[in-house]
Amino acid sequence: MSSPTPTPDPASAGTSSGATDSQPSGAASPSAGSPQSVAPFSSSAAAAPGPLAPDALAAVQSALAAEQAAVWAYGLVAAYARDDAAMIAENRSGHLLRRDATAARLVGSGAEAAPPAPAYAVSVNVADVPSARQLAQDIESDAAAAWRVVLGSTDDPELRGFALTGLSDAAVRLAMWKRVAGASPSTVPFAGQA
Amino acid sequence: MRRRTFLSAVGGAAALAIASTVTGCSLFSGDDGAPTVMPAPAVSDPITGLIATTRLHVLRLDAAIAAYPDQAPLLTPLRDDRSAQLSGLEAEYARVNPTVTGVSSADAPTAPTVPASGQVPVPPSPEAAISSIRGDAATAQVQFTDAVSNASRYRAALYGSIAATLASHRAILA
Repeated sequence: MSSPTPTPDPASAGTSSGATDSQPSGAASPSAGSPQSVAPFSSSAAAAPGPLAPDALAAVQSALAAEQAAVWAYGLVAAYARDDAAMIAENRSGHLLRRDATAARLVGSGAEAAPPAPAYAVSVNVADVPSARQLAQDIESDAAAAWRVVLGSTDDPELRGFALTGLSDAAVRLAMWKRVAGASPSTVPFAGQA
Repeated sequence: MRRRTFLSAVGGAAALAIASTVTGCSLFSGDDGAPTVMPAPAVSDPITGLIATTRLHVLRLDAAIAAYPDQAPLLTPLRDDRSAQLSGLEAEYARVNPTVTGVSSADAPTAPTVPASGQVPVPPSPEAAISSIRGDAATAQVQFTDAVSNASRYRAALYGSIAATLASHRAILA
């Protein structure tokens, strides 16, 4: 499909080597030991995830990359589909939340959350409303596919639930974009499947 | 002495009768001694319940489309999705159970009863039909979501993909 692919960033290349790879799961945070009655909410705080198996780790990293690309690409969509501003804002917000939750999950499992690319290449030449809406559909298709891979790469029921939420959200957004664009059918039988 | 002998003989017979009652065996039953243990029924594949639900929902969609043709543009793509899902689920069942040629309702004892004729009641109005189909999508979404946690990886992806599509169906019908 037309997934936004990251463009190289010479300035940041090599700066994200696994600095936290050796950090054990559940390592104490700087504030550990000082009890707080009110702490920032974190989706990973309820149940600290254990280390991810290699295949699950790779899948979650890919899903994080898809969410990062989605956040960036919706900025491009917003520039041309101004009548869809509310929908774009809502969808972008959803991807922001999921991006952060995914990064937190990776860090919580002792892995490193790869930083987003500074820019992404898109296969759709966005120049008007229809092309912007097409890009929005591609964004959601890519996100759905990424989360479907996570779903099939782990035996952890909790991670499966996390992935299923991402997959379902993307499937719903994709259907909404297809409907706005007048595409038929507006749904697919197997969300996230190529 | 005779009386004691008689009582002990009666007591022994009674004990034997009780024992045979408990064990189900009898000296005079004529059996050849083989235990009458029935084999446990084969564990049914959990996917059969999902298949039955999907099949029922396809029938309901077909009935609604036939009864309210003006709703066909909305419902036909959803029916096509569910039909494709049904085929995918049946293919997965056949992959794991190659000796079984097909999935009948008899293989899915937990599934809703599907009339043999394939006819299902039609809600009295288009609005009621849409509401019913939306409820079907919600029910199936829960069912597939529940099935994700204990399934194999391949099936988890399959079930999750279907659950996500059902979420999109609900959004379309909202």
